Amino acid sequence: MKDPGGQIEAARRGDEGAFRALYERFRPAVVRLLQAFATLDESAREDIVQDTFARAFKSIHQLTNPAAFEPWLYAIARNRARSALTKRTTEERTVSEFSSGSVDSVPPLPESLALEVDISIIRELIDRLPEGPEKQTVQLFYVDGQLSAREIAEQLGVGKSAITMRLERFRARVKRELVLRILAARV
Amino acid sequence: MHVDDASWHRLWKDPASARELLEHLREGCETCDDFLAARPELDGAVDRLLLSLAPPRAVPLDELGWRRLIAKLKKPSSTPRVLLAVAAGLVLLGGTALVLRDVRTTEPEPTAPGVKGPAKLVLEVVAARRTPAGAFEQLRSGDRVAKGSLLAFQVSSPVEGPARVFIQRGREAPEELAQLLIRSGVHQLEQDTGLFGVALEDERGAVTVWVVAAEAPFDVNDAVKAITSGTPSLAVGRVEVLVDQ
Repeated sequence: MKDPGGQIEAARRGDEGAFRALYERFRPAVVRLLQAFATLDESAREDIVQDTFARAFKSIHQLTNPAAFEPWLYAIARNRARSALTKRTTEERTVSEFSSGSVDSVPPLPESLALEVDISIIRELIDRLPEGPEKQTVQLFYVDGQLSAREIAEQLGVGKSAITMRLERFRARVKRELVLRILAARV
Repeated sequence: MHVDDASWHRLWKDPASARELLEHLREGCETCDDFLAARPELDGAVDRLLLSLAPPRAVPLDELGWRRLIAKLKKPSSTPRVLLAVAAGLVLLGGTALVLRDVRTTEPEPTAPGVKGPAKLVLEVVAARRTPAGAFEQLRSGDRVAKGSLLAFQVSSPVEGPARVFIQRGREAPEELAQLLIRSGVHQLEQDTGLFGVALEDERGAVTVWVVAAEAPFDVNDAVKAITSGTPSLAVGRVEVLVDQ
């Protein structure tokens, strides 16, 4: 994604209209991303959506490459979700809890992230999965894109966290593939 | 052989030197996948790809959410103002012997109960406050400063590479202020556009500024872990002031 309409550049200058356009454009994807966290209820999810965009817009002036906006936004959303879940599941003050206060600065991404990976690679990864619960879950959530992880858990009659774990496992495979392709280009 | 923090950084720094590990990753390994899943790098890129698999859905405009968001954006931020250029040609007390006595050495701060482990690389940080006359005067850790004070920093770093600067209010979670590059040795903290500084406009009470640095890129979670419990590969230094009303 470059910057169609110059929205990201305008948002960098503090243009409220551009903020709104970006919110409308990317909110559905952020909601969808958060629907993979089956243990987050709708109210918590909505808070994270708000927090994600607020943090992104407050820091957008630091973004030098408009093409990085989309993955950057998603990384913020994922960090916020993880932090929210960590807070909920532990009473102790842990390193993870500390982390929650500083995640608005997104982990640095390698320059080579600009590498466009054909979506067919991901489809191929899905095809290569053995028939079974992981493949079924991935297809329902990422390919069909209609049901939330909660709804998939109900439909398949399994625990909510089992669905999130299956999705996380597949994300790790995709990440490995991405790492290998980026690094292969540098060796 | 599985990927760990050290080999992960080596992979990015010099992939050619880690061919064996690349081969191992190529074969697929659950242990390594677990490691990769926990690393935040590429999270956004992975999600971008995965979210583009399904056909886009028509979603009605969330007007209420937008109103909430814009109200949140207009609320004044409590984040201190980070100054890109404090003053051209500033000489921070003109010496290299500025070493704070209480820079952490072996014991972690008591802000993370139950988490132990010393940082092995000590980065020394000294702060200076700009006086009304425009000069800078050195602060000792624990010194009182007036609200609105402007601080600049000098570091003595054992490493050269990326650095992250955090602010911590009392015992709250550290909040990242900036990402910089530092050199080894003694020098002032700088950004691309000039000297790095922090204006303590909305602060009150104990405020600690942390600097975390390493030879290779590291993520924000690693930096926070280094602050709270110490991480051998990251150099950590801090300076604390008490902001008066």
